[in-house]
Amino acid sequence: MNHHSLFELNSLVKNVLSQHLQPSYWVVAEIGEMHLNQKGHCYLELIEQENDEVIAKAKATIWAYTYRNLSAWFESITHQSIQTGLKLLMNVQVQFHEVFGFSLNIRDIDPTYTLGESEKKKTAVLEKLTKEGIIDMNRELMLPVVPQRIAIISSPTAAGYEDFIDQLEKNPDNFFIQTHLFKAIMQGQEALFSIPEALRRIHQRMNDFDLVVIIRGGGSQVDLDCYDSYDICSHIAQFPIPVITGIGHERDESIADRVAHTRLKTPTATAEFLLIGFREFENELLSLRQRIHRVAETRIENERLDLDAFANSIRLLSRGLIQSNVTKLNFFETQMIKLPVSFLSINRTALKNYDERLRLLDPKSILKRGFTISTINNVLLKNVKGISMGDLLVTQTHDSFIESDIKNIYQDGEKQQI
Amino acid sequence: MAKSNKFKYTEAVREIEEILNEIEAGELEVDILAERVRRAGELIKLCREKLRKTEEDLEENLNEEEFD
Repeated sequence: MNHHSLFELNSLVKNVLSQHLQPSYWVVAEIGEMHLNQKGHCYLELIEQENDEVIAKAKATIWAYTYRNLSAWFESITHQSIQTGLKLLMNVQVQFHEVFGFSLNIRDIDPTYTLGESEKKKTAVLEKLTKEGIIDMNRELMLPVVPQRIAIISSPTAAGYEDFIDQLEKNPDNFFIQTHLFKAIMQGQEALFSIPEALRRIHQRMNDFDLVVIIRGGGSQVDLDCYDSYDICSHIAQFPIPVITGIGHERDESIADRVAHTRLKTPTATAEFLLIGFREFENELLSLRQRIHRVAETRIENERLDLDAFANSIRLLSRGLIQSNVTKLNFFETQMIKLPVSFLSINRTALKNYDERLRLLDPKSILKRGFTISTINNVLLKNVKGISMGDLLVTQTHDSFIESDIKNIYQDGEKQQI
Repeated sequence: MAKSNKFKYTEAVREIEEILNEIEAGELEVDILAERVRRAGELIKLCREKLRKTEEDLEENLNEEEFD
Protein backbone atom coordinates (compact mmCIF):
# COMPACT_ATOMS: atom_id res chain seq x y z
CA MET A 1 0.00 0.00 0.00
CA ASN A 2 1.18 3.44 -0.88
CA HIS A 3 1.92 5.40 2.24
CA HIS A 4 3.33 8.71 3.60
CA SER A 5 5.79 9.26 6.27
CA LEU A 6 4.50 11.31 9.24
CA PHE A 7 6.70 14.15 8.14
CA GLU A 8 5.19 14.02 4.66
CA LEU A 9 1.68 14.02 6.12
CA ASN A 10 2.43 16.93 8.43
CA SER A 11 4.05 18.78 5.53
CA LEU A 12 0.93 18.15 3.50
CA VAL A 13 -1.29 19.54 6.26
CA LYS A 14 1.03 22.50 6.57
CA ASN A 15 0.84 23.16 2.82
CA VAL A 16 -2.90 22.81 2.64
CA LEU A 17 -3.32 25.19 5.56
CA SER A 18 -0.94 27.73 4.15
CA GLN A 19 -2.58 27.60 0.75
CA HIS A 20 -6.16 27.82 1.94
CA LEU A 21 -5.95 30.09 4.96
CA GLN A 22 -5.52 33.86 4.91
CA PRO A 23 -2.30 35.23 6.36
CA SER A 24 -4.13 36.25 9.56
CA TYR A 25 -7.51 36.22 11.29
CA TRP A 26 -9.16 38.33 14.00
CA VAL A 27 -10.35 35.85 16.53
CA VAL A 28 -12.02 36.10 19.95
CA ALA A 29 -10.93 33.69 22.64
CA GLU A 30 -10.39 33.42 26.37
CA ILE A 31 -7.00 32.74 27.88
CA GLY A 32 -7.24 29.34 29.53
CA GLU A 33 -3.63 29.11 30.60
CA MET A 34 -0.52 31.16 29.98
CA HIS A 35 3.11 31.24 31.00
CA LEU A 36 6.25 33.09 30.06
CA ASN A 37 9.49 31.30 29.49
CA GLN A 38 12.92 32.63 30.37
CA LYS A 39 13.45 34.19 26.99
CA GLY A 40 10.25 36.18 27.33
CA HIS A 41 8.18 34.16 24.92
CA CYS A 42 4.57 33.77 25.97
CA TYR A 43 2.83 30.41 25.66
CA LEU A 44 -0.91 30.26 25.97
CA GLU A 45 -3.84 27.97 25.74
CA LEU A 46 -6.84 29.68 24.20
CA ILE A 47 -10.30 28.35 24.90
CA GLU A 48 -13.91 29.08 24.08
CA GLN A 49 -16.56 28.16 26.57
CA GLU A 50 -20.27 27.74 26.22
CA ASN A 51 -22.28 27.16 29.38
CA ASP A 52 -19.07 26.46 31.26
CA GLU A 53 -18.08 23.81 28.81
CA VAL A 54 -15.00 24.10 26.65
CA ILE A 55 -16.05 23.83 23.05
CA ALA A 56 -12.74 24.82 21.44
CA LYS A 57 -9.11 24.91 22.44
CA ALA A 58 -5.86 25.97 20.72
CA LYS A 59 -2.26 26.51 21.65
CA ALA A 60 -0.94 30.01 21.00
CA THR A 61 2.30 31.93 21.25
CA ILE A 62 3.35 35.54 21.48
CA TRP A 63 7.00 35.94 20.70
CA ALA A 64 9.04 37.87 23.20
CA TYR A 65 9.51 41.07 21.18
CA THR A 66 5.79 41.30 20.31
CA TYR A 67 4.77 40.37 23.84
CA ARG A 68 6.80 43.18 25.40
CA ASN A 69 5.16 45.80 23.18
CA LEU A 70 1.68 44.33 23.26
CA SER A 71 1.47 43.75 26.98
CA ALA A 72 2.59 47.27 27.84
CA TRP A 73 0.13 48.83 25.44
CA PHE A 74 -2.69 46.55 26.56
CA GLU A 75 -2.10 47.42 30.20
CA SER A 76 -1.97 51.14 29.52
CA ILE A 77 -5.42 51.01 27.96
CA THR A 78 -7.26 48.36 29.94
CA HIS A 79 -5.41 48.72 33.26
CA GLN A 80 -5.05 44.99 33.41
CA SER A 81 -2.35 42.65 32.34
CA ILE A 82 -2.81 39.93 29.81
CA GLN A 83 -3.78 37.12 32.07
CA THR A 84 -5.76 33.94 32.50
CA GLY A 85 -9.51 34.46 32.31
CA LEU A 86 -9.39 37.45 29.99
CA LYS A 87 -11.32 37.46 26.78
CA LEU A 88 -9.25 38.93 23.95
CA LEU A 89 -9.75 39.96 20.35
CA MET A 90 -6.49 38.88 18.68
CA ASN A 91 -4.95 38.99 15.29
CA VAL A 92 -3.55 35.50 14.80
CA GLN A 93 -1.59 33.67 12.20
CA VAL A 94 -2.43 30.01 11.95
CA GLN A 95 0.70 27.90 12.06
CA PHE A 96 1.34 24.26 11.63
CA HIS A 97 4.71 22.84 12.46
CA GLU A 98 5.72 19.35 11.59
CA VAL A 99 7.00 18.76 15.14
CA PHE A 100 4.99 21.16 17.34
CA GLY A 101 1.71 20.87 15.48
CA PHE A 102 -1.12 23.36 15.34
CA SER A 103 -0.76 26.69 17.04
CA LEU A 104 -1.77 30.32 16.70
CA ASN A 105 0.81 33.03 16.68
CA ILE A 106 -0.63 36.17 18.17
CA ARG A 107 0.56 39.30 16.40
CA ASP A 108 -1.84 41.92 17.71
CA ILE A 109 -4.52 42.39 20.37
CA ASP A 110 -7.40 44.90 20.27
CA PRO A 111 -7.66 46.17 23.85
CA THR A 112 -10.93 48.06 23.24
CA TYR A 113 -12.66 44.70 22.90
CA THR A 114 -11.46 43.70 26.37
CA LEU A 115 -12.55 47.08 27.72
CA GLY A 116 -16.03 46.48 26.34
CA GLU A 117 -15.99 42.99 27.81
CA SER A 118 -15.12 44.24 31.26
CA GLU A 119 -17.84 46.91 30.96
CA LYS A 120 -20.32 44.15 30.20
CA LYS A 121 -19.09 42.14 33.17
CA LYS A 122 -19.39 45.22 35.36
CA THR A 123 -22.97 45.80 34.27
CA ALA A 124 -23.81 42.16 34.95
CA VAL A 125 -22.32 42.36 38.46
CA LEU A 126 -24.21 45.60 39.17
CA GLU A 127 -27.43 43.98 38.00
CA LYS A 128 -26.83 40.95 40.18
CA LEU A 129 -26.13 43.08 43.27
CA THR A 130 -29.25 45.12 42.55
CA LYS A 131 -31.42 42.07 42.03
CA GLU A 132 -30.22 40.57 45.30
CA GLY A 133 -31.17 43.80 47.04
CA ILE A 134 -27.75 44.26 48.62
CA ILE A 135 -26.27 46.98 46.45
CA ASP A 136 -27.12 49.86 48.83
CA MET A 137 -26.89 48.00 52.13
CA ASN A 138 -23.55 49.40 53.23
CA ARG A 139 -24.38 52.86 51.95
CA GLU A 140 -27.47 52.97 54.11
CA LEU A 141 -25.49 52.40 57.32
CA MET A 142 -24.95 55.41 59.56
CA LEU A 143 -21.40 56.66 59.61
CA PRO A 144 -20.38 56.98 63.28
CA VAL A 145 -19.93 60.60 64.35
CA VAL A 146 -16.33 60.10 65.40
CA PRO A 147 -15.03 56.79 64.05
CA GLN A 148 -11.86 56.34 66.11
CA ARG A 149 -11.38 52.60 65.72
CA ILE A 150 -10.55 51.81 62.16
CA ALA A 151 -10.00 48.44 60.53
CA ILE A 152 -7.75 48.80 57.51
CA ILE A 153 -7.65 46.37 54.65
CA SER A 154 -4.45 46.98 52.73
CA SER A 155 -1.04 45.67 51.98
CA PRO A 156 1.51 46.67 54.64
CA THR A 157 4.08 47.42 51.96
CA ALA A 158 1.81 49.64 49.88
CA ALA A 159 2.74 53.31 49.72
CA GLY A 160 -0.97 54.11 50.04
CA TYR A 161 -1.13 52.42 53.43
CA GLU A 162 1.83 54.42 54.66
CA ASP A 163 0.30 57.64 53.36
CA PHE A 164 -2.91 56.87 55.19
CA ILE A 165 -1.23 56.07 58.51
CA ASP A 166 1.07 59.05 58.14
CA GLN A 167 -1.78 61.43 57.47
CA LEU A 168 -3.71 60.17 60.50
CA GLU A 169 -0.77 60.14 62.89
CA LYS A 170 0.45 63.59 61.97
CA ASN A 171 -2.96 65.22 62.24
CA PRO A 172 -2.36 68.69 63.71
CA ASP A 173 -5.27 68.44 66.15
CA ASN A 174 -3.80 65.31 67.77
CA PHE A 175 -7.00 63.39 67.39
CA PHE A 176 -6.67 59.89 68.75
CA ILE A 177 -7.27 57.26 66.10
CA GLN A 178 -6.78 53.55 66.58
CA THR A 179 -6.02 51.52 63.50
CA HIS A 180 -5.61 47.84 62.94
CA LEU A 181 -4.29 46.46 59.67
CA PHE A 182 -5.86 43.39 58.17
CA LYS A 183 -3.35 42.34 55.56
CA ALA A 184 -4.62 41.43 52.13
CA ILE A 185 -3.48 41.13 48.57
CA MET A 186 -4.91 44.18 46.94
CA GLN A 187 -4.91 43.35 43.25
CA GLY A 188 -5.21 40.58 40.72
CA GLN A 189 -6.87 37.22 41.02
CA GLU A 190 -5.62 36.62 44.55
CA ALA A 191 -7.45 39.71 45.80
CA LEU A 192 -10.72 37.98 44.98
CA PHE A 193 -10.14 35.67 47.94
CA SER A 194 -7.84 37.80 50.04
CA ILE A 195 -10.08 40.84 50.48
CA PRO A 196 -13.24 38.88 51.43
CA GLU A 197 -11.06 36.88 53.80
CA ALA A 198 -9.85 40.08 55.47
CA LEU A 199 -13.48 41.24 55.79
CA ARG A 200 -14.31 37.94 57.45
CA ARG A 201 -11.53 38.44 59.99
CA ILE A 202 -12.84 41.93 60.77
CA HIS A 203 -16.34 40.55 61.10
CA GLN A 204 -15.17 38.19 63.83
CA ARG A 205 -14.26 41.15 66.05
CA MET A 206 -16.75 43.60 64.66
CA ASN A 207 -17.42 45.29 68.00
CA ASP A 208 -13.84 46.53 68.06
CA PHE A 209 -14.30 48.72 65.01
CA ASP A 210 -16.34 51.70 63.89
CA LEU A 211 -15.29 51.64 60.30
CA VAL A 212 -13.48 49.66 57.60
CA VAL A 213 -11.24 51.34 55.06
CA ILE A 214 -10.04 49.51 52.00
CA ILE A 215 -6.99 51.29 50.65
CA ARG A 216 -4.32 50.66 48.12
CA GLY A 217 -2.12 52.76 45.94
CA GLY A 218 1.39 53.31 44.92
CA GLY A 219 1.73 49.92 43.30
CA SER A 220 0.99 48.81 39.79
CA GLN A 221 -2.10 50.31 38.27
CA VAL A 222 -3.06 47.08 36.55
CA ASP A 223 -5.16 44.16 37.63
CA LEU A 224 -7.67 46.22 39.57
CA ASP A 225 -10.60 44.45 37.94
CA CYS A 226 -11.07 42.61 41.20
CA TYR A 227 -12.80 45.77 42.49
CA ASP A 228 -15.51 45.15 39.94
CA SER A 229 -15.92 41.52 40.91
CA TYR A 230 -19.01 40.11 42.52
CA ASP A 231 -16.90 38.25 45.09
CA ILE A 232 -15.40 41.37 46.61
CA CYS A 233 -18.29 43.77 46.04
CA SER A 234 -21.02 41.56 47.50
CA HIS A 235 -18.95 41.25 50.69
CA ILE A 236 -18.44 44.98 50.90
CA ALA A 237 -22.10 45.72 50.22
CA GLN A 238 -23.30 43.39 52.94
CA PHE A 239 -20.70 44.31 55.52
CA PRO A 240 -22.47 45.43 58.70
CA ILE A 241 -20.21 48.38 59.46
CA PRO A 242 -19.51 51.23 57.04
CA VAL A 243 -16.78 50.61 54.47
CA ILE A 244 -14.78 53.44 52.89
CA THR A 245 -12.78 52.83 49.74
CA GLY A 246 -9.63 54.64 48.78
CA ILE A 247 -8.38 52.45 46.02
CA GLY A 248 -7.04 54.92 43.50
CA HIS A 249 -8.19 57.66 41.20
CA GLU A 250 -6.69 56.41 37.96
CA ARG A 251 -9.80 54.64 36.91
CA ASP A 252 -13.51 55.26 36.70
CA GLU A 253 -15.60 54.42 39.69
CA SER A 254 -15.36 50.73 40.45
CA ILE A 255 -18.24 48.65 41.75
CA ALA A 256 -16.46 48.46 45.11
CA ASP A 257 -16.62 52.28 45.17
CA ARG A 258 -20.28 52.12 44.22
CA VAL A 259 -21.32 49.72 47.00
CA ALA A 260 -19.04 51.15 49.69
CA HIS A 261 -20.52 53.58 52.20
CA THR A 262 -18.18 56.32 51.01
CA ARG A 263 -15.85 56.39 48.06
CA LEU A 264 -12.67 58.43 48.14
CA LYS A 265 -10.01 58.67 45.53
CA THR A 266 -6.85 58.03 47.50
CA PRO A 267 -5.73 56.78 50.91
CA THR A 268 -4.64 60.36 51.70
CA ALA A 269 -8.08 61.67 50.78
CA THR A 270 -9.61 58.95 52.96
CA ALA A 271 -7.55 60.02 55.96
CA GLU A 272 -8.43 63.66 55.32
CA PHE A 273 -12.12 62.79 55.07
CA LEU A 274 -11.98 61.20 58.53
CA LEU A 275 -10.04 64.11 60.00
CA ILE A 276 -12.49 66.63 58.56
CA GLY A 277 -15.31 64.74 60.27
CA PHE A 278 -13.38 64.87 63.54
CA ARG A 279 -12.73 68.57 63.13
CA GLU A 280 -16.38 69.31 62.41
CA PHE A 281 -17.39 67.38 65.49
CA GLU A 282 -14.88 69.26 67.59
CA ASN A 283 -16.11 72.58 66.25
CA GLU A 284 -19.62 71.56 67.11
CA LEU A 285 -18.48 70.74 70.64
CA LEU A 286 -16.69 74.07 70.87
CA SER A 287 -19.75 75.98 69.82
CA LEU A 288 -21.91 73.98 72.22
CA ARG A 289 -19.47 74.81 74.96
CA GLN A 290 -19.72 78.49 74.07
CA ARG A 291 -23.48 78.31 74.19
CA ILE A 292 -23.45 76.56 77.55
CA HIS A 293 -21.04 79.18 78.80
CA ARG A 294 -23.22 82.00 77.56
CA VAL A 295 -26.45 80.55 78.87
CA ALA A 296 -24.91 79.74 82.24
CA GLU A 297 -23.42 83.25 82.53
CA THR A 298 -26.78 84.82 81.75
CA ARG A 299 -28.48 82.58 84.23
CA ILE A 300 -26.03 83.46 86.97
CA GLU A 301 -26.39 87.15 86.15
CA ASN A 302 -30.18 86.87 86.35
CA GLU A 303 -29.99 85.06 89.66
CA ARG A 304 -27.71 87.79 90.93
CA LEU A 305 -30.18 90.46 89.84
CA ASP A 306 -32.97 88.52 91.55
CA LEU A 307 -30.95 88.35 94.75
CA ASP A 308 -30.27 92.10 94.54
CA ALA A 309 -33.99 92.67 94.12
CA PHE A 310 -34.75 90.42 97.07
CA ALA A 311 -32.23 92.22 99.23
CA ASN A 312 -33.68 95.59 98.24
CA SER A 313 -37.24 94.51 98.82
CA ILE A 314 -36.42 93.05 102.19
CA ARG A 315 -34.59 96.21 103.15
CA LEU A 316 -37.41 98.50 102.01
CA LEU A 317 -40.20 96.41 103.46
CA SER A 318 -38.41 95.92 106.76
CA ARG A 319 -37.82 99.62 107.01
CA GLY A 320 -41.50 100.18 106.27
CA LEU A 321 -42.48 97.72 108.93
CA ILE A 322 -40.14 99.33 111.45
CA GLN A 323 -41.36 102.79 110.46
CA SER A 324 -45.00 101.84 111.00
CA ASN A 325 -44.11 100.48 114.40
CA VAL A 326 -42.25 103.67 115.22
CA THR A 327 -45.34 105.66 114.19
CA LYS A 328 -47.46 103.48 116.46
CA LEU A 329 -45.05 104.05 119.33
CA ASN A 330 -45.06 107.79 118.71
CA PHE A 331 -48.85 107.76 118.85
CA PHE A 332 -48.73 105.83 122.12
CA GLU A 333 -46.26 108.33 123.48
CA THR A 334 -48.41 111.36 122.67
CA GLN A 335 -51.42 109.57 124.07
CA MET A 336 -49.50 108.83 127.22
CA ILE A 337 -48.80 112.49 127.63
CA LYS A 338 -52.26 113.69 126.65
CA LEU A 339 -54.44 111.20 128.47
CA PRO A 340 -53.23 111.76 132.06
CA VAL A 341 -53.57 115.52 131.61
CA SER A 342 -57.18 115.30 130.54
CA PHE A 343 -57.78 112.72 133.21
CA LEU A 344 -56.52 115.14 135.82
CA SER A 345 -58.44 118.04 134.41
CA ILE A 346 -61.65 116.04 134.55
CA ASN A 347 -60.99 115.23 138.20
CA ARG A 348 -60.10 118.76 138.92
CA THR A 349 -63.47 119.98 137.61
CA ALA A 350 -65.24 117.37 139.69
CA LEU A 351 -63.40 118.50 142.80
CA LYS A 352 -64.33 122.04 142.04
CA ASN A 353 -67.99 121.05 141.94
CA TYR A 354 -67.73 119.26 145.19
CA ASP A 355 -66.15 122.29 146.70
CA GLU A 356 -68.90 124.51 145.40
CA ARG A 357 -71.54 122.24 146.65
CA LEU A 358 -69.90 122.01 150.07
CA ARG A 359 -69.61 125.70 150.21
CA LEU A 360 -73.35 126.07 149.46
CA LEU A 361 -74.15 123.70 152.28
CA ASP A 362 -72.10 125.62 154.88
CA PRO A 363 -74.62 127.20 157.55
CA LYS A 364 -72.63 130.37 157.57
CA SER A 365 -73.32 130.98 153.95
CA ILE A 366 -77.01 130.19 154.56
CA LEU A 367 -77.07 132.76 157.39
CA LYS A 368 -75.43 135.25 155.07
CA ARG A 369 -78.27 134.84 152.60
CA GLY A 370 -80.70 135.97 155.38
CA PHE A 371 -81.68 132.69 156.99
CA THR A 372 -81.59 132.49 160.82
CA ILE A 373 -81.30 129.77 163.44
CA SER A 374 -83.52 129.81 166.47
CA THR A 375 -82.81 128.02 169.77
CA ILE A 376 -84.54 127.82 173.07
CA ASN A 377 -82.40 126.83 175.97
CA ASN A 378 -79.63 125.91 173.44
CA VAL A 379 -81.98 123.49 171.73
CA LEU A 380 -82.54 124.02 168.04
CA LEU A 381 -86.12 125.14 167.49
CA LYS A 382 -87.76 122.73 165.18
CA ASN A 383 -91.33 122.51 166.49
CA VAL A 384 -93.49 124.15 169.14
CA LYS A 385 -93.65 121.16 171.41
CA GLY A 386 -92.56 121.97 174.94
CA ILE A 387 -92.49 125.72 174.32
CA SER A 388 -93.95 127.94 177.05
CA MET A 389 -95.01 131.56 177.26
CA GLY A 390 -92.18 133.73 178.28
CA ASP A 391 -89.44 131.36 177.12
CA LEU A 392 -86.33 133.06 175.88
CA LEU A 393 -85.87 132.61 172.18
CA VAL A 394 -82.36 133.18 170.83
CA THR A 395 -82.17 134.02 167.14
CA GLN A 396 -78.82 133.82 165.42
CA THR A 397 -78.08 135.81 162.23
CA HIS A 398 -74.83 135.75 160.30
CA ASP A 399 -73.33 138.41 162.53
CA SER A 400 -75.50 138.67 165.65
CA PHE A 401 -77.66 137.00 168.33
CA ILE A 402 -81.09 138.39 169.16
CA GLU A 403 -82.95 137.53 172.35
CA SER A 404 -86.77 137.78 172.44
CA ASP A 405 -89.68 136.56 174.58
CA ILE A 406 -92.34 134.27 173.19
CA LYS A 407 -95.84 135.88 173.27
CA ASN A 408 -98.01 133.75 171.01
CA ILE A 409 -97.62 130.61 168.92
CA TYR A 410 -99.62 130.00 165.72
CA GLN A 411 -99.85 126.71 163.97
CA ASP A 412 -101.75 126.32 160.67
CA GLY A 413 -103.31 129.76 161.25
CA GLU A 414 -104.72 128.96 164.70
CA LYS A 415 -103.57 130.41 167.95
CA GLN A 416 -102.18 127.69 170.25
CA GLN A 417 -102.95 127.52 173.97
CA ILE A 418 -99.80 127.53 175.85
CA MET B 1 -28.55 77.06 108.93
CA ALA B 2 -24.81 77.14 108.70
CA LYS B 3 -23.13 76.85 105.35
CA SER B 4 -22.83 73.20 104.47
CA ASN B 5 -22.42 70.96 101.49
CA LYS B 6 -26.13 70.43 101.54
CA PHE B 7 -26.83 74.05 100.70
CA LYS B 8 -29.49 74.16 98.04
CA TYR B 9 -29.75 77.33 96.01
CA THR B 10 -33.36 76.78 94.97
CA GLU B 11 -34.47 76.05 98.53
CA ALA B 12 -32.61 79.10 99.75
CA VAL B 13 -34.31 81.32 97.18
CA ARG B 14 -37.68 79.84 98.12
CA GLU B 15 -37.02 80.66 101.76
CA ILE B 16 -35.95 84.19 100.87
CA GLU B 17 -39.20 84.64 98.97
CA GLU B 18 -41.19 83.32 101.92
CA ILE B 19 -39.51 85.78 104.25
CA LEU B 20 -40.14 88.52 101.71
CA ASN B 21 -43.82 87.62 101.53
CA GLU B 22 -44.06 87.58 105.31
CA ILE B 23 -42.56 91.02 105.59
CA GLU B 24 -44.64 92.26 102.68
CA ALA B 25 -47.84 91.14 104.38
CA GLY B 26 -46.89 93.68 107.05
CA GLU B 27 -48.15 91.51 109.88
CA LEU B 28 -44.77 90.29 111.01
CA GLU B 29 -44.14 90.72 114.71
CA VAL B 30 -41.27 93.03 115.41
CA ASP B 31 -39.80 90.43 117.76
CA ILE B 32 -39.12 88.11 114.83
CA LEU B 33 -38.52 90.72 112.12
CA ALA B 34 -34.86 91.08 113.01
CA GLU B 35 -34.43 87.34 113.09
CA ARG B 36 -36.10 86.96 109.68
CA VAL B 37 -34.09 89.74 108.10
CA ARG B 38 -30.89 88.26 109.47
CA ARG B 39 -31.83 84.89 108.05
CA ALA B 40 -32.68 86.42 104.67
CA GLY B 41 -29.38 88.31 104.68
CA GLU B 42 -27.50 85.12 105.43
CA LEU B 43 -29.28 83.22 102.68
CA ILE B 44 -28.66 85.98 100.15
CA LYS B 45 -24.99 85.94 101.07
CA LEU B 46 -24.82 82.17 100.65
CA CYS B 47 -26.63 82.41 97.34
CA ARG B 48 -24.17 85.01 96.10
CA GLU B 49 -21.27 82.84 97.19
CA LYS B 50 -22.84 79.90 95.40
CA LEU B 51 -23.21 81.97 92.23
CA ARG B 52 -19.63 83.14 92.42
CA LYS B 53 -18.43 79.58 93.00
CA THR B 54 -20.55 78.37 90.10
CA GLU B 55 -19.10 81.06 87.90
CA GLU B 56 -15.59 80.02 88.88
CA ASP B 57 -16.41 76.40 88.11
CA LEU B 58 -17.82 77.49 84.80
CA GLU B 59 -14.65 79.36 83.87
CA GLU B 60 -12.52 76.49 85.03
CA ASN B 61 -14.43 73.74 83.27
CA LEU B 62 -15.16 75.54 80.05
CA ASN B 63 -11.71 76.95 79.76
CA GLU B 64 -10.49 77.10 76.17
CA GLU B 65 -7.01 75.75 76.90
CA GLU B 66 -8.08 72.86 79.05
CA PHE B 67 -10.64 71.77 76.52
CA ASP B 68 -8.11 71.04 73.81
